[in-house]
Amino acid sequence: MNQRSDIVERATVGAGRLGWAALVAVLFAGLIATLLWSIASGRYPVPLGHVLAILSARLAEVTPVWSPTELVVVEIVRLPRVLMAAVAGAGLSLSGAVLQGLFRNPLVGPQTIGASSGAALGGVTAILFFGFGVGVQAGAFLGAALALATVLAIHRSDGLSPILTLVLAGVVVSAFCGALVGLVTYVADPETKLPGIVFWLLGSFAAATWPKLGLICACTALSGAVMLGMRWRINALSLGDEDARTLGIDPVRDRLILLTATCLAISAQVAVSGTIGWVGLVIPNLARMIVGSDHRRLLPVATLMGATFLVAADTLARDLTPAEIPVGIVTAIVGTPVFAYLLRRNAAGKAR
Amino acid sequence: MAPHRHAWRRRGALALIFATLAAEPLPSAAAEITDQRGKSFVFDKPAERAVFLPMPAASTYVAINRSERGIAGMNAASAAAMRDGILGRLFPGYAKIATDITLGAGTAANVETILALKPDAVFQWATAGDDALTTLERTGLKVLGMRYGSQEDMAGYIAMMGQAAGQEQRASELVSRQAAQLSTMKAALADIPESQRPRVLYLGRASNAYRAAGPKTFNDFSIRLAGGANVAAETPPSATVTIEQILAWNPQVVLLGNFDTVMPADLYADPRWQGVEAVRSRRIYRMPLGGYRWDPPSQESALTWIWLAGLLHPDRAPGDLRSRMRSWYDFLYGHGLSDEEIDGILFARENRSSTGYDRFLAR
Amino acid sequence: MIALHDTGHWFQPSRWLFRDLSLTPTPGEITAILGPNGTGKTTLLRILCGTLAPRAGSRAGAEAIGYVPQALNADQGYSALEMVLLGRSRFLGRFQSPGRKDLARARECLAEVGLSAIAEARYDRLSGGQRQLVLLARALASDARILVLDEPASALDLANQGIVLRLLHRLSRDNHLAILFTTHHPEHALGIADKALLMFRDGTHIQGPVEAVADEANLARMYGVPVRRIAIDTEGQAGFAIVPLHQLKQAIAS
Repeated sequence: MNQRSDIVERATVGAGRLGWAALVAVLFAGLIATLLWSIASGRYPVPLGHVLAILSARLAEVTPVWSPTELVVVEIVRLPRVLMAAVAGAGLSLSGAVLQGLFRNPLVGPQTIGASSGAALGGVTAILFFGFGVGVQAGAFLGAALALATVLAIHRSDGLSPILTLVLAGVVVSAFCGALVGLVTYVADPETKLPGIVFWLLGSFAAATWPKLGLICACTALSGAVMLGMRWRINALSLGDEDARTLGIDPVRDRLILLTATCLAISAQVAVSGTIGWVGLVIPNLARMIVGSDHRRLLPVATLMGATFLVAADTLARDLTPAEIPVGIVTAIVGTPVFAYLLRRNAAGKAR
Repeated sequence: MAPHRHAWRRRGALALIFATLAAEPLPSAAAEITDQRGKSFVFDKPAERAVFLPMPAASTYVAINRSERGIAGMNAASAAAMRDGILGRLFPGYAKIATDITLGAGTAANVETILALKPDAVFQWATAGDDALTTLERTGLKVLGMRYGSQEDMAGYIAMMGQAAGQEQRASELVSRQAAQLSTMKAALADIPESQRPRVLYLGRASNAYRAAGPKTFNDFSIRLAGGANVAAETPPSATVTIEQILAWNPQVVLLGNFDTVMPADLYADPRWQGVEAVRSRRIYRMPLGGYRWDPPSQESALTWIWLAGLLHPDRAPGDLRSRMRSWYDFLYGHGLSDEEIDGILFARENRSSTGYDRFLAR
Repeated sequence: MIALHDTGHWFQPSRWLFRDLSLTPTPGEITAILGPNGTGKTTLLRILCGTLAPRAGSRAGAEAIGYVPQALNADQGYSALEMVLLGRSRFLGRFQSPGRKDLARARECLAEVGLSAIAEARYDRLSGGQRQLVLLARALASDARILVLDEPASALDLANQGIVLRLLHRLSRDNHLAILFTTHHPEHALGIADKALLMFRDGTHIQGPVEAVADEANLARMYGVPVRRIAIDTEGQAGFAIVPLHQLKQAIAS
């Protein structure tokens, strides 16, 4: 057959089964190493040996070589914070990858479709009326869900260019939520409420505690199980509604399930640590460069990479200077140039 | 640039004090007032309807006048501080003063509301950018700029308020009383060697995020003056710091500001704080709230210094706090403080379990 | 079997694309749907596949249909094999991923269209002809007994057109599939179809055995251009050539 000669560029997708297993192992080892590095570094000096001893004391009998303060630093200060950054990064990156698949657009992320800003608005409103607490999570989820519902409602009224209107609707809803967040910060008591709100909006894991870690873990595990479980279904959905229907699946219901899951993961992250941008947009794209578009591989890899990235970013945020830099600023500084590069690459790819 | 401006400011403050003294022989005649950005205004008679946008300003003006009369409008946050503190009880008329003069809850002026109050003087921060002042000035109002931060800045604006109110005498007495307390403090505590200065951390916020006061802040100044050493000496003036940084600093004394609701008991119970020396020796104190908050500069700052010195160096502290509070309140507001009122101002209940606080309590 | 009964549809009120149209795909039979642009060929396919509800008439049956859309552009960088695997989706639950059997079936279908060699190549970097064949393999992987194709040969060169047409013919004859396809090439219809459906601009249509229906008069009426249908029989190959008389020479001369 003459088909073979047609193949000018035979870019192979993904490596073999063995290569795949090796990649996951490497990424996992990288995550563990980053976690250890993060737990071992901080403004309060704790020798690495003591850190390892404290960690292993959970599993085995170890002679306590550490001081009580070192124990507090590692167990109460760093451990929940580091794990929270990991879970938040995993949830954001996974949600971003799912959203990019659902909307067939690599430039979509938790921020671009309004979920993050909706969650921020919900959270800020909850802080304004009820103060910090469980209300923030509820408010953030409600806000994210409402924002997404609004985006979809705007989107539905136009059938011509679904992908474009969806992103534009996200921009509109984000802008609206941003304005309302501005309004809330404007009426918030500048002495008692405003500094807290501003710090929360910038994003930080400084207030990490074991209960908060429990909250984000539960939400992320639940939504992550759904998203990872439906990884093949996302492949089908990414072909578009018409194709998905002819392949025998119901795109509307599946999309609703997946969007609810992303809302849950994003709002849990926003509730415990404020808005942290760029992770959910940039990391899935990097993961796609490595393993290709098949969500069966993309989702696990994006999850691992997101966790690693956010742990590293947060470690820099808290250790670079005596005064803490909000982690959202670190992710933006790293994320925006990468995004600009992706944008160029994307445009070049389309032109080719 | 910065040192130069600083020198100018100092001269400006002195000039204001001189002007105040010089103006004395001409009672309530035309007065020329130079504000803290160097702009001059002529007042034919003392201001009768003044508007105060900066939060601490209204309570200072109340102290200068010993009355809430003369205030046509003030920041809603100033009214809230009066309502929650002791000033509201001493001057119940505060509740009738207009508070809708700002946009939102900030210090940005709501020009039309202010115009409707027909004020003869408007006080606004000169440190928040020119726009904050020019939007008001364009409408022909006399806008007096105030500088925020140091003791000198405060002395300057107290004198300026005195001129505007036709109360130069009281204003200069307030300034000189503060100056006298300042030199008493310096005489008693300035020579304390670095090694004997307790490491002190001031936290403007302590819930969710920790906000420390770095160098060149008023709290840094107060800590130094009262014989302490500010642990946050290398951060930006107002810095969010991690708990680990606090553990690394390991402060011996922690002061909790009045811009948050956290109390010493909260930190004593926080597992993350158990390694901090201030927790182990129980030396965490909530700063008092009197006619205004004691952590930022105010007419009651002299009391802040006495309070703080009493905690840091009980053996060298100048004077008994409770009696000094009585005499200051008598001077400032014409009010004789009861024991209960003093305990309320000092957060006696919340601070009682902290080391050394009993010296301030009624016996 | 799926069947359409007296269906009709319009996008602008009172302007029927078609009406009273009945269609029953029959196993082992190929139906070609002919018509100029804008007469509702793709709309008819969507109604047939059940992704669009007709304004009039009804659709019966719930059988799976293997649909092959036009291979225009792809915005996801899946491999050819993954694209074919997607055809197995209707057998997989919401939380299921394809297993070994699905993979084997996908490879089989890819082999059937002759593309085993490029299984791992990225779909969005394949040529138009290869993409069309991959989508055909995807429809085959769904194990549907009915195959519906939207202009399967329109973007292909002559050699690739031949490959696709021969494949369709073989699938109909050997696998006994019911096949429907739209086309702008009457000679393709005459080449492999058993029946033809001609859709006219005025909303009417005729259907019947292809050689009877796709005659010079009907084609001329349908396209608005005089048409010659020439029978060719050379070197054992029989077929028809369709020649539209566009009067190009005269247009150039004048």
